[in-house]
Amino acid sequence: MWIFRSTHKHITQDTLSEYLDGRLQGRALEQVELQLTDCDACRQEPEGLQALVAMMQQLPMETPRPSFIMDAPPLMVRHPSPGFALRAPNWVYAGAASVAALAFAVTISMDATGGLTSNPLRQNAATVTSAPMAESAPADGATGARSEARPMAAATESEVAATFGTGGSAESSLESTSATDNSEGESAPQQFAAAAPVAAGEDPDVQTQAGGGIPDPGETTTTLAPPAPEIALASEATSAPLVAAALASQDGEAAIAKSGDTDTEPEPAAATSDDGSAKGPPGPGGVPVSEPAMPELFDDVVISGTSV
Amino acid sequence: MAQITHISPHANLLVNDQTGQAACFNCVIEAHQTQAYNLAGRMLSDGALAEDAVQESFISAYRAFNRFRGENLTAWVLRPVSNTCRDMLRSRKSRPAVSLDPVPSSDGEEPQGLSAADLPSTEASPKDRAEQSELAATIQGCLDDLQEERRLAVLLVDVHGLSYEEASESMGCSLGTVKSQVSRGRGGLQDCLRETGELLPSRFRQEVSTSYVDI
Repeated sequence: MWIFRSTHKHITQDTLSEYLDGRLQGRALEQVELQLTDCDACRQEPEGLQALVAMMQQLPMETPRPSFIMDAPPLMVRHPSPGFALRAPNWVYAGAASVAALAFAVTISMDATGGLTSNPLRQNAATVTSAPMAESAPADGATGARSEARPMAAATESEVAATFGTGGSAESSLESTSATDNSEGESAPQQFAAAAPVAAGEDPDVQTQAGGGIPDPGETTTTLAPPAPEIALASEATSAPLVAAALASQDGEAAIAKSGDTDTEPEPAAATSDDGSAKGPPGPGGVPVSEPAMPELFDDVVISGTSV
Repeated sequence: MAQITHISPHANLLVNDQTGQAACFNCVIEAHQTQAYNLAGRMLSDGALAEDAVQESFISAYRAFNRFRGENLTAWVLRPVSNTCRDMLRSRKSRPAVSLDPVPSSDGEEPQGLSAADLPSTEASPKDRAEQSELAATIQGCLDDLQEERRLAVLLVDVHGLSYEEASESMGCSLGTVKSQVSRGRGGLQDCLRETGELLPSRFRQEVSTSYVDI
């Protein structure tokens, strides 16, 4: 047994399988036959394998119940190929990915080095927008806030001027029913006009502010009228007792009388309101005549003002 | 290429191979349908699936007959059968289905199913037929335990008698792969039959048990 173990070399399964199938030739066949001759135990292995193959070959073959004979040729299904390639070449995807990665890297590096914050275009835009903001800030009022909400790039000079004008009016309305204009309209501005003299008596400087707040009367004529309802609403909200007094007068005479009592003469700035910017001509004794502040009636107001 | 003659009354479905030679495709089917059906049946262990696989394979073969170069027709026909069986086995793995066949009872009744029980030899005696069925069922059970490629290689070489070259053409792999798969498949079958030797008929039991060599 020790001789067998020292000289025996196991026949691999692949070699044995090839031997059984008759595929070994030459030296390989001689070696296998020599081993099988010398080793009785080794002979059992190919015998068992041969029996297995014989069993496999004896497996019966069943005849298929349905015949697969074709009565007609099967339909030749052809898949239409698209006229264009559904997938781009790989270099397209690789190039797009590299460009995206490069753009990402550049963005990150610029952000890290502060390049994004030192953008000259953004700086210019900041200087442009900061100027109207600084000017309109003192004007305050609801229109001031509205002007902030607007895009500063669209803020032209006329808009800035309108903002100043309306801002002054709004300021006057917000500050203790100011609205120094003695010739406000009769409808909605009538309330404001009726309440105005009361405030005018208390703070005459407000008139100067309101009048002086109109930098360009020629342009404000077109933009001053729409804020009038806002002014009226503001005055309603802030000075309810005064509005009630104005309602009591109904026609504004009481307001005229009150304004006459204050002996408030029209300021030079108010005189400049003869351009028709919702400021009626002063009546006799410096009492302004209330005129409707409706936009379509502005021209009439101007004519009447100049005629007086 | 084997000479195909139109000897049956079926429709003469002419096809041309790559060399331009016309052949009767129904004759090809008639000559190889038994092999194809048994190969599919043993690969899939399901008669109905085997029929579907063979039908699909013959349709594929008809469409691809213009690429046939006039070599070994049997290997060429069994190639689509092998591929279809592979696809079906993969789809079965991904979507396992529960068989509606009757479950074998616990009183020792032989399990039904597969094509092994459907493969009796009509010429044998009842005893031989029972032994054949028993042997076929046992071998089929061991074949099912083999890996897919090893099972296919053993079936092609040992059951259907293809050479290694023909098997490599049918399997679509190299000759060395066929050699190793056949060898390992046989080894696996041997181990399986040794473990389930009690199920084998007595005359086969001795043969298989003596094949074990203890070195």
